[in-house]
Parts: sequence; C-alpha cells; structure tokens
Amino acid sequence: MSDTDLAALQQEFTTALAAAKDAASAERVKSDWLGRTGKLRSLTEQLGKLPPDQKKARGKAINDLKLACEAAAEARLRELSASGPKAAPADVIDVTLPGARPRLGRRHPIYATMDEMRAIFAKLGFEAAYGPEIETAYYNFVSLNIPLDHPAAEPFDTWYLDDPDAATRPYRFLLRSHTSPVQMHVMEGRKPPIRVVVPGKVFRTDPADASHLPVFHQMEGLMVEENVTFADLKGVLSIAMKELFGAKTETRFRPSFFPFTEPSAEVDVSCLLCGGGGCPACKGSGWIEVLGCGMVHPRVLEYAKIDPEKYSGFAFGMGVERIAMLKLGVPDIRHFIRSHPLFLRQW
Amino acid sequence: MKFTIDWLSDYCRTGLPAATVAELLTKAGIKVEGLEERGGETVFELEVTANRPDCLSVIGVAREVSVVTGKPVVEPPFKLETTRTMRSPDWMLDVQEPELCPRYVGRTVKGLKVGPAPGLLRQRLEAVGLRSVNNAVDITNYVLYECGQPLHAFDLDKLSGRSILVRRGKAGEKLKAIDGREYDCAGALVIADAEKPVAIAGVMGGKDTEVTEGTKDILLESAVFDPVAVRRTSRKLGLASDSSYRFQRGVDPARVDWASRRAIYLMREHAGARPDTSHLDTRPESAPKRQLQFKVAAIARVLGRDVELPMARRILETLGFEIREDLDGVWRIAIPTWRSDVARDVDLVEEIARVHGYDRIPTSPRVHIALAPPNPADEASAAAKDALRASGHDEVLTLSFTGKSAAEAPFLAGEPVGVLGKTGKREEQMRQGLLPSLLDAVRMHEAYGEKGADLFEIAKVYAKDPRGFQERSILGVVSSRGFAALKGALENVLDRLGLLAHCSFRPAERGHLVPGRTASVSIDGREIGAIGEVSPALAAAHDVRTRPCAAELDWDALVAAAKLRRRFGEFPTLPAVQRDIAVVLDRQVAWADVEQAVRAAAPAGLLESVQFFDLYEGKGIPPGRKSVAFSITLRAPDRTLTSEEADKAVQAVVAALSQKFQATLRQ
Ligand SMILES: [Zn+2]
Repeated sequence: MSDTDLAALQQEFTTALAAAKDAASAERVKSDWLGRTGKLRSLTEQLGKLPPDQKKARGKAINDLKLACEAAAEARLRELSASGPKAAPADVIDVTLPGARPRLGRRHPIYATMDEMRAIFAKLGFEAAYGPEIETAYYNFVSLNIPLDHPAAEPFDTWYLDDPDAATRPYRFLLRSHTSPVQMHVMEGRKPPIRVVVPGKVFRTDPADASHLPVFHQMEGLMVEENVTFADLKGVLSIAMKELFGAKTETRFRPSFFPFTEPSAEVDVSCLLCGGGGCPACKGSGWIEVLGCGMVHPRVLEYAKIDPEKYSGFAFGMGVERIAMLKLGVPDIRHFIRSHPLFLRQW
Repeated sequence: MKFTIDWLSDYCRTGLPAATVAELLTKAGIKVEGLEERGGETVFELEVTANRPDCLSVIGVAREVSVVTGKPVVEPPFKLETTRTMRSPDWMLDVQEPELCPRYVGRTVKGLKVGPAPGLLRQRLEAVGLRSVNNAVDITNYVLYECGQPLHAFDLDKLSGRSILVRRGKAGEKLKAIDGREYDCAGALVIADAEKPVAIAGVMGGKDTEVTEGTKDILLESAVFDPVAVRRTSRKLGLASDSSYRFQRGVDPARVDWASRRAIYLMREHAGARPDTSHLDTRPESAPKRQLQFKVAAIARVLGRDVELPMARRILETLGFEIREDLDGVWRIAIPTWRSDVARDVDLVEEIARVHGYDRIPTSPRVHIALAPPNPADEASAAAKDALRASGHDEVLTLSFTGKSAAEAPFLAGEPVGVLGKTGKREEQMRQGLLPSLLDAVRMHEAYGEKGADLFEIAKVYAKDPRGFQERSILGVVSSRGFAALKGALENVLDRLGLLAHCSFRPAERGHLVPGRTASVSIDGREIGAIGEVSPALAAAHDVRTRPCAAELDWDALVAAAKLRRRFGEFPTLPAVQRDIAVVLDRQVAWADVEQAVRAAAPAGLLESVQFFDLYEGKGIPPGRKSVAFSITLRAPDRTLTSEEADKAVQAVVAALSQKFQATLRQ
C-alpha cells in the first residue's frame, strides 16, 4: 500500500463518522477503525513485512493517520453529545429548584472552638480533664498561691455561694472563677508525668457587655514532668498557636504576673487580620493578646505535694470566647448566649 | 497608673521617644496600656500587676526605665535642715495597735499659707486624674504619686487634745470622711484625736480635720498599715482610695520618713510654711534588708537556657539587688526594700529573664511524645451531639443563672443554689434544670418568625440537698416536631451510645410536662430522665406560643453507662421473610405490651424483629379502639423459611393478641 491509500482510508473514515447521527453510532465507527481489531490495527500488523528501509517512514505515516482519526472521532463525539437525545417535555424537571435538604443541626461555635483547641493539645500529648464548677476558696485561691484577702485575688471577681453554714467551713464555697483549680485536683490525684488540658465554664461577677459575660469558658493546660523549662513552654505554645490560628502565626511572650506561675508571661499572636502590619483590630500594634502562662509556681507544687526540686512544669490558660471571637470575627460576646436562630445557623 | 512623661524625666532622663520607652517597659513586664497626648504633654498609662506596688509611683517606674535604658535614676534633690527638727513636739502620739500600724511618722509644720498649688504640680496631678484642692493637699498627693507612700495632712488645731491615737473604732463611732459621706467606724482601725475618729486608717481622712483655707498648722501623717486590715475595712465600707490601694499592696518601708520630709520640704517651698518642725516616729530604726540564698543553677533549670553570670549579676544589681557573697554558685542577695514580692529563687530568675528578654529564651520544645487517651465524656458527647445534629437539632449555649428567685422545672432535687455578687447580696440563682433556658431559646426563635425550634445543650445544673451542694451534667433537648420525633432523636442518641437495647420509656408524670404525654426514660431499669410535652403553663411563663416537646437526661449517668466500643457481630446471610399485620384493639393497650406479646408468641428462634409502622383511629374503627400495624421479620439461621412456616407464625401472633387483648385482625 502507498501513502495515497492512507489518504483514501482517512477520507473513508471521515465519511463514516459524518454518517453517524448519534453518539452510539459514532462510538461504533470509532471502535471499528481504531479498536483492538479495527481496520487501522491491521495496517500496523503489515508493517513487519516491509523492508527495513521503508519501515520507519511508513510507521510514522500510519501513526499520524491514527492520531488524526482519533482526534476526529473525539470531536464528532463531543459534537453529538452536545445535541444529545431530547427528553419528552413531560419528563423535564426544574433542576434549578432547591434540593430537599434534611434539616442539619449546627454545632455551637463555642463548643466547636473548645473541641478544636482540645484536639490540638491532644496531638501534643495533653489529655482532657474536668472538675467541679462549685469549688472551695482553697482550690480556687489558696492552693494556687492566691492568698485570700489579697489584691492578687481581686481580678477574679468571684461569685460566692449563698451558704448559711459558711462561717463553720474552713473555706467558703464559690463558683470557680477560672479553670485552674482543676490543676490542683489533677496533681492531687496522680503523680507526674502530667499533661492535661481543662476546658470548662468559669464564672465572674462581671455584668454582661460586648466583651464580658458572667459565665464563660476557659481552657487551662498543665504539664508537670522532670526538667520542664520555659523553653518547652514557649515551644509547645508556639506550635499550638500555629495550629489554632494558622501556620504563619508568630507568637510573642511578654513578662506578666499570675500568682500561680513564676516566671509568668502573656502571649500575643501576630494579628490575624493584618498579619502584623497593624490595623484597628490590633490597635495598630500588629499583636493580639490571647493567653496567659508561666512556669508552675513551686508553692503550687508544694500544695499538691509534688517535690519542686524534682519536678517542674508549666501552665497556661485562655478564654474560649475570646479565641472564638478572634477566629470567627464575632464582634459581641453576647451573641454566643442569645440563641438567635440567624446566629446559630451561621456555623 | 497615669503620669506625664515629663514628670518621669525628672527621675530618669532617657532622651528616647516616649513610644520607645513604652515598648521597652512593656517588654520587661511593666505594661504600658496607653500613650496619650494631653495639653501638649504625653501621658503614660500603666497596668501595674498586684505583685509590683513599687511601680505605683513615678520614682518606681523611673527605676524600671533606668533598668531597661541604662540611664541613671536621679532622686529628687531636697534638704530638710535637721537642726530645726529636734524641737520637742507640742502634740501627742499613741499607737495602740502596733500590729496593725507597725510604723507611724508624724510631722508638724506651721505658719502655712493655704492657697492654690504651683502650676507644674497641679498639671502633673491633673494628668494623673486628680483634682487640685489646695497647695497642702496637692503636695501630699504629689508625694504619694512621686514615691508611693500615702500621706495625710490634718489641721493640727482641729485635733482635739492635739493628740493622735491609732486604735480600733468603738461601737457607734462614725466618721464623716472628706468625700462628704458618713462611715461606720466600729471595729475598723482608725486615727482618732482625744475624742473621736479623725480618719479611717489607710483609707480616708475626716472632713472635720481636713486642711482648709484657714489652716495654719498641719500634722502630716506618714505611716504603714497592715494590708489585710486596710483591705477588709475598705471592702466593708465600700470605700477605696489611692492610699488604700497602695497599703493593700504594701508600701516601701524605706520611704515612710523620706516621704514625710519631702512633703514638709515642698510645703516650705510652695506653701510658705515656717522652717521649724517637730516629729515623732514609732520605729525610727530601719529594719535590715531581707536576704536570699540564690542558686544560680536555677536560671538554666527554669528557663532552659543559661544567662551568662556577669549579665545576670548586672541585671540584678541595676534592679537594686545587692549580691553580698558568691559561694560556689550560691549568691547571698539582699533584696531592695521596695521588692516585697521577691521571696524565692524563681522570683529572681523571673527578674533576670524579663530584663534579659523573654525573646532570648529559645522556642524549642524538647518534650518527649506522650499519649493523650481520649476522655470517655468527650467521646460520648461527640457521639450524642452528632446524632442530635443529624436529626436537625441546633446546639445552644445558655447562661447557668436563672434570673428568677424561685425554683422552676427542677431536674435536680433540692433547694436552688444562690450566689452572692460584689455587694455580698444574693444576686443570682443557679439553674436546677435546662428546660427553662431552652424555652427562652425557643422564644427567641419564635420572636424571629420561626415556628418553634429544635435545640439541645449539655450543661450542668445545680442544687443544694442535705448532703451539700450538688452539680450534675444533663442533656436537654427541645423539639418543635412532636413527641415521636423527639423520642426518635433520643433513640438515635441512645443507639450511638450503645444503650438502645438497655433503655425503656414508661408513662410517667412530671409537674412541668403534660400528663398522659410524658414518659420516664430508664437505662437498665434505672431512671435517668424524662421526655414529654411542655405544660402550657411553663411554656406561657417563657412566652412560648408553640407546644414544644422536651427531654432532660442525666448526662453523667449516660456517660457512665455508654458502650462506645464496637466489635464485629456475625450476621445472617439467608433471606428473611417479612409479614405485615394490622390488628384492632383497645385504645389503652400500650405498644410495649403488644410488642412483648408478639415476641412471646412467635416461634422460638425465628423472630428477628418486630417493627411498628402505623397507628390509626377514626373512620372504620369502633370508638375506643385503634388499629395498630406492624411487621415481623422471620429468619432461620440454617435454611430458607417456607411461606407455610411464616403463615403459621403470623397465626400464632394473631391468636396470642386476640387472646390477650381481644384483638381482631384488621382486613
Ligand atoms: Zn492587625
């Protein structure tokens, strides 16, 4: 066969394709020619009989023909499927109507944020622990190195229980004003190594406004092992903040004061909105304060009967509402407790 | 604490822009909250933590500025000629409570010309937020802000018997303070003259003895009062002042006499007072500085990195610590009088770290990996919440307070728990059940045009019973879609918790649910809660217009009972035969009893399940009767059942129902 034969074959194929009036017939033409037992396949088989000097050129010509036919078949198929078979008018449905969605309940953003934070610290080996919301002044203050009748207790505007027997008790009952008392319960209940996070409700006598609620949530963390240092605290929290706010998040540790940690620090993260350049959300500073932390005060370890010469640890605590507001852009903390349907359905 | 940068510069001139100083201070833990331009002056606002009362004065802040900038502190230069101060006093001092007033320095100054204070002094006080009164009073305030030592000026001529007594207030004693209000002095530490209290010690002076335009001679008090006593009095009277704020946190004992002399000096300079003065001091000798043995190895042990010892030494020394001895890595350190907060190794480590810079501590966790076993409560709540959301319930978060004084729809038995607010009065009450909070959430939905709401929450409720204060986590659910839908949602929860086969619902009564439309929920026979239609009265009390159904279950009990671990179970592969049966029987026959009878009657080993699918009353059914339709699924483990076997089983079931409940087959 010569190259003219190939041109004739191509012409024949084109005519057959054009004759196919629907996709199925076009597919049939395609497989008759290009399939495993198709006409073009037999051309390739004949190649073997040719003298070697002709083989190469002929092989290329056959291959070109194959590619051209394949492209023509695809084009024809596309053309046919675009027109396609027509449905009877009675069978046509309005596919633009909304789907019949089963009603799906939403997670509350505070619980969702708390779950997310818990999961992050679980990856770092911190298990969740819980404790009572009704506490004694011993666990809420004294054992955490906050003397009663001391200004250090002042930031914890505490709800005390109305208790006719208060005078007869060594320590008054109260609603915990932070999740830190659970640190003490955990340390009393087991020996180091300890790694826990404590998510939960806390109570303050703050009246509700755009950034305060009398009941809100915190997540406390505690790690007590041999040779735990401030460098470990910085490392663990830097990683956790990247997980929580995004891989580009930078952290900054500023000296601060908490009675139950020494040294203590406040932690800022680079502003989520401007990335550190400065904007109204971060008051132009590029930083946003998100948590407090420090090395567990040796006094606190002593209260828990853990030897501060042998063990050391760090603790940290953050407000769940504050983190949720930052992450989700919620401008007023009261949205979380109002149960407004249009708020609940945003999540 | 607010002050002008110009005032700060009197004691430490840095030559740096205010913003730079603010940044350096903040980095070292003295947090500058704001920098404000006011009347051409830059005003610093500091947030001073409870452990650093030394920074409640401009000199104290200047010391910190000196540490972070390396520029020296310059104490205000003044000289009080000592020769004239030795004159024997013409007044009397008697401290009857030395425990509560460990030191009292009184100084008199005479021939004062009371008038307006000099402009600079007034400006500085106004920037702090104080109103100018007169030169004498302004000077006491100025010195308070300058060095942190509270002072009080009495009009000496108005002190009965020219006496100062430090004693406890007697029953019935009252004092009209300079704020114009009257305070009960009983039991409080007071400053009194021969007759009556003239000041509440450490808190506020009295109106009758204050310095006025006619005042000529002054008795100036500079004292130390017990922090706890001042705090208790201040709280009890609901009266706080710059003085009480500082006394509660502790004052620098080395400034007590200094402040007194400084104020007298300023009164001579700016209020025309005569140079002669007399003074009494109940503890003129100064106490030795406290000392601490500091193991320098603590630096690396706490921080995870070494700070070079010369650097550590320099930091401590610039902060005013004296390193008196260095024995094999143990430094004997004398603590400055103004740093009562420093008591242990770690306190010194913090001083070194904060000045050296927290950012120089590496951020390199070398903590080993550890397991964090899942908490069973978290696993159970994830499963339950999943099930509730899948059935269309939104999760809500509601306050733990009821806002009401009486118990309402309690879940937990006992008395309501009340809580005392700032005033010490009962201000709020803890909820005893979740239903009232959930109904408020439903009302919120109705208010925004929703026809009811499907909501849930897991939270604690509280009560007081004879054993004490109790708290318990409960799961509360409300539904707008009727009893069966809510029960179905609960069954899904129980299924996810592995408890469906352990639970039972029985007719029950609850005060806040509609009788005849209420069931108790039990796990293995132990009651854990209830489900039912909310009573119209309770719904109305919460302005809910729809008729929601609600359920409350003891969540702690569910977590304890939950079986979350699953294992593969062998399942049949031979086909089953399913037959539908509809019977007509008396209306009051419960489905649970019908199901039990069906199970008992079906051929042993063949009945796989009994599935209710329809209930019908009305046309075609006699009054008082109902039609109940259900299907039974039969399957043999070893063979395919024949249709005769299935027919026989159906006959047995129908015969049993007819015998037991006079049921008839519905055609
Ligand atoms: Zn920003």
